[in-house]
Amino acid sequence: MAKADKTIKSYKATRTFDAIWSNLLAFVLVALWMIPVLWIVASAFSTQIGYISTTFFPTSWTFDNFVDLFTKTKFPQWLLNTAIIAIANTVLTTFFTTITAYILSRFRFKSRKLLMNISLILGMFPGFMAMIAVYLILSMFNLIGSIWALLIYYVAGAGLGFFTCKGYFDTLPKDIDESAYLDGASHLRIFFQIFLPLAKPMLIYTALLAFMAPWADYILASLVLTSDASKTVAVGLYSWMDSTMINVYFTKFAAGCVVVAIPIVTLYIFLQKFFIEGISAGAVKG
Amino acid sequence: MIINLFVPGLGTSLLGDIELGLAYLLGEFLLVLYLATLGWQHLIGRISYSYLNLPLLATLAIAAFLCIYYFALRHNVKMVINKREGRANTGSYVINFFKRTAVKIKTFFAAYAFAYHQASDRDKGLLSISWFILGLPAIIHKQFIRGILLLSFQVLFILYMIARGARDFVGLFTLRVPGILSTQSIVFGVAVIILILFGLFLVFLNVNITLRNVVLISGKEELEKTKEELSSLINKRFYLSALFIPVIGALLFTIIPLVFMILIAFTNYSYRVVEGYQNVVPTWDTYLSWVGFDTFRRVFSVSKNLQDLVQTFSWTMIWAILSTLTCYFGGLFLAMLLNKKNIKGKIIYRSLFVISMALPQFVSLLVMRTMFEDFGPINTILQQWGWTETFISFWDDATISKILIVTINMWVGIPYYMLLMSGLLINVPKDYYEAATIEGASRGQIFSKITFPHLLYMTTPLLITSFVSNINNFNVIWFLTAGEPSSTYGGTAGGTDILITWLYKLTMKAPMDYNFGAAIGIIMFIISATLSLIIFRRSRAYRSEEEYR
Repeated sequence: MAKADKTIKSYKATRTFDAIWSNLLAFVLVALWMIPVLWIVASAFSTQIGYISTTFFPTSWTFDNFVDLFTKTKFPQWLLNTAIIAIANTVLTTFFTTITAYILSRFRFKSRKLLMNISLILGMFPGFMAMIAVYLILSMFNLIGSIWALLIYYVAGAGLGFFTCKGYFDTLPKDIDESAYLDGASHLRIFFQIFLPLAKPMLIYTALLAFMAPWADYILASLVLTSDASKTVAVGLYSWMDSTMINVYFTKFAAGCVVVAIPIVTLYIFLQKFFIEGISAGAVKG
Repeated sequence: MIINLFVPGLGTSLLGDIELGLAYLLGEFLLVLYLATLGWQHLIGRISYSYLNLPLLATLAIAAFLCIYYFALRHNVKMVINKREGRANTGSYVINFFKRTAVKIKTFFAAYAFAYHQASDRDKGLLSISWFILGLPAIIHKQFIRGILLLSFQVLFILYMIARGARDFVGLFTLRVPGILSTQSIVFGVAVIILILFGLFLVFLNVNITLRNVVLISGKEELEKTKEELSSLINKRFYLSALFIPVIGALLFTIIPLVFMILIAFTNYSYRVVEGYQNVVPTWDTYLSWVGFDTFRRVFSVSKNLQDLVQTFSWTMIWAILSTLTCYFGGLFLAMLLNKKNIKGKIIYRSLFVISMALPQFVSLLVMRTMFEDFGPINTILQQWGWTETFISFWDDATISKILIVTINMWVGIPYYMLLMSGLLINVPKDYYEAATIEGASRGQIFSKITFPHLLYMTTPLLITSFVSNINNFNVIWFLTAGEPSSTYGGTAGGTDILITWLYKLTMKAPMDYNFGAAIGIIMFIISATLSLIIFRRSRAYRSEEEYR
């Protein structure tokens, strides 16, 4: 008995030790991950203008950076540009990506395998290797300097990003849409009313990525959006980090980052569940 | 058998698997080339850089060569054994493709001859006409929709060819069309060629449609009427209508640009003046010309360029391997930690990690860069705590920069893998754990015998895709260091440049060395395509697409 007691005791001790150790480790890791975030938020409220400081947290706090950001710079315009592209891109790209994936997952036609293999090979080229030609083509359509150029480019590439989606769609049971078809529903109706609701996690995942793309894309945006008024936030804020600008604009940059990050982070946190489903489906079948 | 021992890649090709053999051969060839020119000098220390461990690099190259050699040899042995025991090998996809196409063409012509023989005089005429006039047979067969579509394509095509198509076609070869820049000539020329190929496809389609109708008529069956044609576009042939815009988009903004860029590598389009090469920039009266493989010669024969290539290539590979592995295992560790029952506030922790993933990369990476600047907060704190006398210039040293890049990338990448892994950990069958616990397995054993093999099996495709996407990971390098510090031997690639950022610099920054950049792009494509192809062909997803249903 005594021996069993002892084992239980030592087992309990190990468990408490393990709990403390795990919690501590998790806390330290989170703290480590939060340092840059805290620093940028703190800088956004700093009274200084450059990034050079003698302390980690600013000594005095102010709201001026945000006020200046919206009244004295082109930032509101950039924000608007990016938001327009992001929303339009979410709708269009999600539609084209999911419908391409739907077709390739559900239909069997002659050139299907060929199409899939071609898209796979196209995906292996470094994306912006073709940027110069894209620039030439866009300039032939007289689109240089316009945010629509970006939108057209994103939407044109939407069909090629079907792999993750198709992998997920392949796992969905075929009987439901087949029986709906036999009942006389058209494919477009099946797609919108039966299929997409079934594939909701993937739909949200695709939409989220499409929404994120314009906020993060730098390469094409920096090439195409030449005038100050047509920039997206990524291009605009990056221009403030130039070594000649950083000492004047750093805290405004920080404020801009905070403004950009708030909606996106909120979206991510609320849609976390779908995101996990989306990436794990994509990872396994992709 | 002797060939197999010396050049296993060639052996694989000869045994029938041509592409894989070529891939092995390419790897062997590149590594031998490197070892024969620079590698042996690196190994014995005849050339040395301050920031790159060259003997290590050369050793890695030898190891890689031995690996490829081993795999190719093993593959060959398997194929020979298969052959001896009468089992079929996978064989070459290219050859199989041509074989299948040949069979298809043969059956098509047999069917054509048979139908022609049986058809009425009118249909005989229509079958002959269908080779030359698109749509007309369909119209006569009262299938107006496809008839009019095909016919109008042909009319427009001919009008276009007369108006400018012929000139554009010739322009692709001469690159000298008055009033059109040479670069535009290439774009138009590529477009014309795609249009011609599409036209040929339509001719074949037209004959096929006519043939099908003729067969139906001689079998006394009903033809599809106009109304049915229309409804089939939203029913049976829904895929045609749905894929129309995506295909056009891909053609215009992915395929034509890519072909353009591949072609640029064979022209003299560059802002950079190099002795011995007639590089020009196209203007209204200066034209480009085709220069064959000159640009590739420039990559491999100019020692600075070769050094750039070797340096960026090896760092790209090291970077891709390190970044993939650190994030994968870091994410796994974090997911398991946060999955533990005794952790309080899991949701809050997880959401906090999601913040770092959700932040647009340019924000988090630029912030990180600033933090490690000479007067940034890290240096400030180090000095205040008295750990260093003056600031440390982290970004001025290539080796420190590289370590920082990999570390900061962990900050960016681990949360993503954490989310992914926690999604997958839920899927590990619970009974395994219960059984293992009852049998008295330790936690380490459970992890190494159950959890990890399961996860690895599930995520192999992901590991591969993320390895390839890390080869092409522009953002992390560009926003952190932009490839700096600059080259110590006067090359164009900086100390932390990977291939893709080097490519960006070559083409987007002065001097815009377009043909050189395009050549590097082609080399990159060959590398990542070879890697993906080998691994992709072994992956489950490709072998058994239907299995997931």
